[in-house]
Amino acid sequence: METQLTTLEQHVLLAVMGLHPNAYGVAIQDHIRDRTGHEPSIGSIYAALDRLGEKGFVSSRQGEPTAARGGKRKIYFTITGPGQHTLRQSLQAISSLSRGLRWKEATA
Amino acid sequence: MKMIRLGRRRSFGEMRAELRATIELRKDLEKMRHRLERLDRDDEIARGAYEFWCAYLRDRHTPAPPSRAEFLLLALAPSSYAEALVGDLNELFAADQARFGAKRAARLYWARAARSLAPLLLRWIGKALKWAAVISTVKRTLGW
Repeated sequence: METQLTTLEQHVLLAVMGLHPNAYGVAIQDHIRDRTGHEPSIGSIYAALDRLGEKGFVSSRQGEPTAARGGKRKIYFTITGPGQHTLRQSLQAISSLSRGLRWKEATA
Repeated sequence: MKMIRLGRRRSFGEMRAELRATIELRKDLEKMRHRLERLDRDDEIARGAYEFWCAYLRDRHTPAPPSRAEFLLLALAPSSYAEALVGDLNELFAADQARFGAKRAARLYWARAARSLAPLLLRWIGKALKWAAVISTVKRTLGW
């Protein structure tokens, strides 16, 4: 199974887990922006979710259309078992790589 | 009452007719409001009609998101989530409109749509290349 996740895919999966069961495009974008300071575009979030969906790491369900969205439905995403497993492996790999590193002091 | 289709260039006569219709609507609204205030008991019909006209006037003066940007996104995004993507941008547009006004909200909508198109195009090209590679491998294997 493909276990390599890009940084954006990691962020998206973490946001989907954190927002469960209300993870949809705008909420995921806000969640990532608030916690990382980086705002991915809605298009890149959906492209990442599409890739993750193809790999079976997220599942989706449709919500109700609302007037504020011009009658367009939301799609809510949920992380799957294999998605959680891969995310944990990916985060453990980063943690393992960064363990024991000596960081340079920031110079003023 | 004559309803006028919006979203296309209108003639002077049509605009005048629409203005008249708006004035009439506002008069109706005022009458209903006065009637509602004078009623001793709740009149459901009057209240319902009043709320309907309020909603109608509010909707008529609420600008819609840029339709060309919406069309581009619907055309280029994968069909499985194109509607949700446009809905998300519409939701942000509604929030921006309340905060900054219609013009700035429309500019922000275009900016977001342009930023969203690049990864969608890359994804589309990636999928196309993958399929091209599969087809060429099959052709080579079968000796076509």
